[in-house]
Amino acid sequence: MALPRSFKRALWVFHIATGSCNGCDIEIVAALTPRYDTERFGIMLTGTPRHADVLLVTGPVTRPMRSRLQRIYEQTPDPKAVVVVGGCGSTGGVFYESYNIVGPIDEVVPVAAYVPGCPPRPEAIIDGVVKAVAALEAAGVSR
Amino acid sequence: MTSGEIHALLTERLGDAVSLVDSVEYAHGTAKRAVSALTVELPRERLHDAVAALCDATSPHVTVISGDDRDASLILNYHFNVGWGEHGREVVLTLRVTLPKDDLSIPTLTDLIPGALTTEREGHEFYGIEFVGIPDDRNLFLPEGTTIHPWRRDEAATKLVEPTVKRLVKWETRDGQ
Amino acid sequence: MDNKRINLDLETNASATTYTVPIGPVHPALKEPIRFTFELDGERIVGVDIKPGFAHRGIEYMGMRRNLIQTLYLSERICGICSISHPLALTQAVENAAGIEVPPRAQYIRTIIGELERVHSHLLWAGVGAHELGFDTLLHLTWNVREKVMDLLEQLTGNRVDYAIPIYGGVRRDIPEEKLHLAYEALDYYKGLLQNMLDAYLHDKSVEMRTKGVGALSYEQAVSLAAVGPTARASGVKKDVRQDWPYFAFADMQIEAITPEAFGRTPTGDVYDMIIVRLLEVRQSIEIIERCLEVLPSGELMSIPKVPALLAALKNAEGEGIGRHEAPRGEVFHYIRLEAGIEEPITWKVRAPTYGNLMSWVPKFLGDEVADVPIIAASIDPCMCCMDRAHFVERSGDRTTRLKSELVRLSREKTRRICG
Repeated sequence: MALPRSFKRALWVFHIATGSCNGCDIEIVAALTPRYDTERFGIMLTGTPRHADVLLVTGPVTRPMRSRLQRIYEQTPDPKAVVVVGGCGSTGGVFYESYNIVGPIDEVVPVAAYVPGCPPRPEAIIDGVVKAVAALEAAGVSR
Repeated sequence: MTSGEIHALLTERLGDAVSLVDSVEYAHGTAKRAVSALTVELPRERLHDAVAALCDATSPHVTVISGDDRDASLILNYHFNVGWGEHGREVVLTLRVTLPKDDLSIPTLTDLIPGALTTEREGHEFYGIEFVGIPDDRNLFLPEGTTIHPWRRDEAATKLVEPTVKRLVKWETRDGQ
Repeated sequence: MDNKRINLDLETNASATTYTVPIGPVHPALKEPIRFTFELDGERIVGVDIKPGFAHRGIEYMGMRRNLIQTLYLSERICGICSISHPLALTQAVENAAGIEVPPRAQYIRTIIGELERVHSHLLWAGVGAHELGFDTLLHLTWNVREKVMDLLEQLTGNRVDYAIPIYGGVRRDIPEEKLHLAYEALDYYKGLLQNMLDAYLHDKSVEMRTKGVGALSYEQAVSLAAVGPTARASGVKKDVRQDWPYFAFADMQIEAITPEAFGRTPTGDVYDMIIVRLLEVRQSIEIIERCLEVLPSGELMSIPKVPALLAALKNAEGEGIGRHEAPRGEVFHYIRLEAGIEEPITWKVRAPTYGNLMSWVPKFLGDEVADVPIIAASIDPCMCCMDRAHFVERSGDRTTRLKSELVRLSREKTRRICG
């Protein structure tokens, strides 16, 4: 199934924090503000996963957030891509061997792109989103 | 109030149940100006009286309760700030009580300082302490139904995770064990 | 004594006309997950219960199993917005426990970076608060202005967030002569803008109508619920670690806690007072940074420059220490106990400011409307917050699920209603 043309015009993004320290979350919002301004590309934060094309996930997954993350992933309609922002979501980062942490995000949902950094710069986050969507187009199928 | 005045106030109310552990000063800045911290030990039954004495004299601010698991007993440090509002005259006061492991209970302070509820709920779920008379003893940070007490050193659950200290230098004494 | 105690009735005022609204933990806005359960009587909130813990990572548990340098980098990532506050308090605690001196130049550099962080954090909060009110223009303007201090932080420390500046016994990087002009440029930029910001936030009719009288917290409530930081200061409580227990370069200055009285207003603890306190603190921080840059003492940066020597000194250290810092949200408190011969800290206890302000949310919410929930929740500047779908259960048993976007729409409609 080819991606609809609207993907090139507008990309709606839903952000979920699974126990992160907020550093990556702030850089995601900074990406929307006039210095980096993703809205000129049509990338916008939406308030519900049901309207989202890309899920931006941050944080090491804490035990209570695991089921919520799975549910959000299932609620997002296809075609979708999951982009992990930050070192703790990619590999656990500095948070390892704790009783309340389940693991990096790819233990819970399939991931299309990782943006490492603690926190990554807003330009890197935009790059990650673009790469995830390019991967979707190249695959030609929904993830 | 200075450290000396606080110590005098507690001694006056509680007599020789109060024992001084430490009264320190830390110096900062180019002027080496000092700030004070006072640590005092009390028996567990007298803690409520001591805090009541402080509340009568001033408005202590309860910061947090930290704990120290020592095998047969559990030491609790109640950290307060006393004397805020005046330049450089605040004292960080620590009231230390010891609880035996087989009877981890202590009266609550929420009747004197309602703001202590958060830290008492945390102490209840992380150490397993019963705060007698607490208005709400549900878990605060851990999911409901959790049975382990993560900050104790004797619970089996805390031994599930092996220590992960990265040694940059080999230490004979430790690694030889 | 009775006027210092308040009756915290966390039981729901159950009656036939109230219904329960659980909100959280997942939400599309910028804050961490947290669960609220509101008891509503029509549009009025009559009861609230708060359940945090969705971002609980077991940091103290992990920290007590690593050596102190690893714990330092772990503490930096407790919060990404006030990312230097935890290392500043932790290094103080360990230095007090181990008896390690800090050279004066290092103390001043720590103070400068700490105050720069306060500027960026308060501007961040102001923008987020405006967004919750529906004032997106102000969000974008404020965050654009904030980029200047982020640039300065990057030029001085190497990163926008998580600067890794403090180390036990000093700081890791210097502020050399050739970079001082960058700092002065940024400070002049902000001094020129301050009056505009005060006008935009405090003399704007719609902001005034949405924030005055909303989420009030009285002086007695703030004291008895052990509130800290701007949350307490907005209620008139003159409590500030930089004033009461001066540390680092603050020991050479006389800092005054800022309350709404500095703006000529009687404190009520409402959201408008919070805006006053935070914006005036930005001005205070700029003055502090200027003073520190003028008298920056020369000298070494670390008292124990070589890392293996530092690790050895820490391993042999024995004692207890307390470290405190006035973070943008309030007092950060670290307690640490070290034993000789063991690398890991035996006891490490962290008290972040939002844990102290958690209980002050309850009287702030009570009596206000559902449409005010976003701005009251954001007003204490939580490092964990709320809001996803509001699940309304009607008396007849029908369930409707409303989205956060709907709650924000309610909030914005209220703005139009009262300003129209």
